[in-house]
Amino acid sequence: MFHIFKYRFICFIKDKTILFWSLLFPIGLATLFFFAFSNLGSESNLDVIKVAVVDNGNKDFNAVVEELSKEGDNQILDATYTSEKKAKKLVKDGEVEAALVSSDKPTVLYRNDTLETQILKEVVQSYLRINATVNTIANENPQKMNDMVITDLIENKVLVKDYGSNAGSSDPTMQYFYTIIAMTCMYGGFWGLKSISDTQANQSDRAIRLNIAPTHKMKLVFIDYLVTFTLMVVELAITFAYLILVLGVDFGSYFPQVIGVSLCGVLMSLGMGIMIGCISKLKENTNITIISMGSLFSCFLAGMMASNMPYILNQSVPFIKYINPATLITNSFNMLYYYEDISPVYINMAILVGMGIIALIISYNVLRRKAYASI
Amino acid sequence: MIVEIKDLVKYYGDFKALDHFNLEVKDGEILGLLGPNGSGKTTTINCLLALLTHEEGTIKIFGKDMTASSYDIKKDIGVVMQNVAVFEELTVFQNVDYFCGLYISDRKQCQQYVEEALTFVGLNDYKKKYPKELSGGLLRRLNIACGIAHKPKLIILDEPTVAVDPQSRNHILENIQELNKKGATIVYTTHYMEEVEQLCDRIIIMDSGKEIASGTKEVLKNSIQVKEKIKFEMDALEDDVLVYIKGHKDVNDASFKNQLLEIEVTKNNGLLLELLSYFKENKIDFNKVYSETPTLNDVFLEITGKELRD
Repeated sequence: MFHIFKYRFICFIKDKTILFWSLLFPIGLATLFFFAFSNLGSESNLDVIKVAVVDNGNKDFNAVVEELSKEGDNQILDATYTSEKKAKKLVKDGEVEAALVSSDKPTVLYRNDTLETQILKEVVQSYLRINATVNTIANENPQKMNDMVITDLIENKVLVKDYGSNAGSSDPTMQYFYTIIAMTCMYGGFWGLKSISDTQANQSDRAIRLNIAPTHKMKLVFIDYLVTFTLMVVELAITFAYLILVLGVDFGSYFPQVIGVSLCGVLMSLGMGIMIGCISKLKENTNITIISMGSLFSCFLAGMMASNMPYILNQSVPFIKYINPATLITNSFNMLYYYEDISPVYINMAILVGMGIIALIISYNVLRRKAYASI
Repeated sequence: MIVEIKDLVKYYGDFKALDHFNLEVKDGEILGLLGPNGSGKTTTINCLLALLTHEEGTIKIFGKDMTASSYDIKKDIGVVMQNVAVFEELTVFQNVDYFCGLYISDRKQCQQYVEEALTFVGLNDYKKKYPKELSGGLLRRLNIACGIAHKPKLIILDEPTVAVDPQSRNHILENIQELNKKGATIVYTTHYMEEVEQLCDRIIIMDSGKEIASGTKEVLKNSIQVKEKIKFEMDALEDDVLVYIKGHKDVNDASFKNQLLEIEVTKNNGLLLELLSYFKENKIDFNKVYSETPTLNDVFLEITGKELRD
């Protein structure tokens, strides 16, 4: 068995195309994200933004505006409270950059889209996100709530004080790096697909030779599974090492669980790749496209292109977070970062492993009965 | 019998690829399966190896029914396929070692077999080369080594010399004869009649999924009307001379085309000498004369009206 493992490992590791997509591409993307977002948290270059504030009764948002308007090094806003009509006039006349309407769902009114209005929009989005987080905490961990929760959340104190020291800098750009890990895991599907194409007699001449050999097909598939899992572990190790040691990404103190979640993601994606290879009657290139698009879409839903996507989906289709593999992975990372009680993470891990097992069971049943009318 | 195929029927959709085809291979013989492209040779082999389903018929190897999970039968079969089936990522040595290792679990024995196989096909100097660095002929030799390294009792070769240079082809044919001398039973498919004539103890000629003739090459050649072909190279020939020749009792057919007079003789009764005398008497000049015995292509042509090679 070892000699089959050895030679299959050599075959896999020489596939430069899959190595690029599953290792170099995520690292490259992480580097791009790092340079693109590394100054987002920095406020030192920002001037105070003049805004008109329309108080429509959202006390929480008013408190946010007050906090951001406090004089000092951290002041972002220079707020003028007025009516909506006057606020619109001030915006029109250019006397303020924009108007913030403090209603149940705060909005930004502006004339020209500038860097300052982008920041104001991000403030509103951050408020909505934090508000959603607070509601979640209130529902799931009500004992952690206190009167100062809004202010402390803005200053990120409560996350450090009440949720243990597992939280680091709580950088909002972390979501992007989490999705990169999720993408690396998802690209295990390529390896799964490649492994199965070498056992399907209608997909390659080498597979014909393997089908003629007196070695059980399942044994070959199992060995390939071990090989690709080993390969993915190495790739993840390299990716994590790069993110942590080179880019300085902080995954918090539940790092063993972070690794555990990643490995569960790998088990799932390898199984999915094998299943697609077994079931699909399409050509190999088409299957590769399916896996590629599927992985990217999954990461998109997890917030890779738009960081507020998970929040949006959570409001409209909450069940997505239980079936989208990338969301399961990134949500687990978020929970490991923010929560003290990480039991939901183990549920996510179980779902991922369950998906992988179901995919393998389906693959086994298909392979077992496979007979070719033509090759 | 090592191999027994009875009444094999195989459809590809509505197309009947094999039509109640029968095949028997005796222990120790080299059986040639000869036929043009599309006659069903590869389909027969794929059904024999349980790579394809079939609609009717039985297939037995070593006296047992052959199925996809007949691992006890598979361990004694070696296959050299039409297409080169090796791993581009592995060296020559690694390829043979990998495939041999699927049959032989003892690593020491396996390594010994690998060395012997590489020596046998003449690839010792190329052990560390990768398949992309080999010529077509050497690749074919690698393909053979991967199929026979484990010293199988039954070897099936499906058109192993396609697109191969003459030197490598001769090397391959010699290898096959040597394998047979060492005790292997061989099934050899090809559309090159010269190869089956050189190699095979017994030949089955197939077309459109059916056997159309079988026997040794002598039996097959004797089964057709044409016993000899006499050819004269000449610049011109009068029509009445051609009519005379065609009318001879021992002549099956005669034609004059492209300065070549071709005469198919049904009986070897000294017609050549007769023709030489006739040409001398009538002062009919010619440049060259030669005589050929019929080929398997003639057998195929007489039975089907088609050539073996398109």
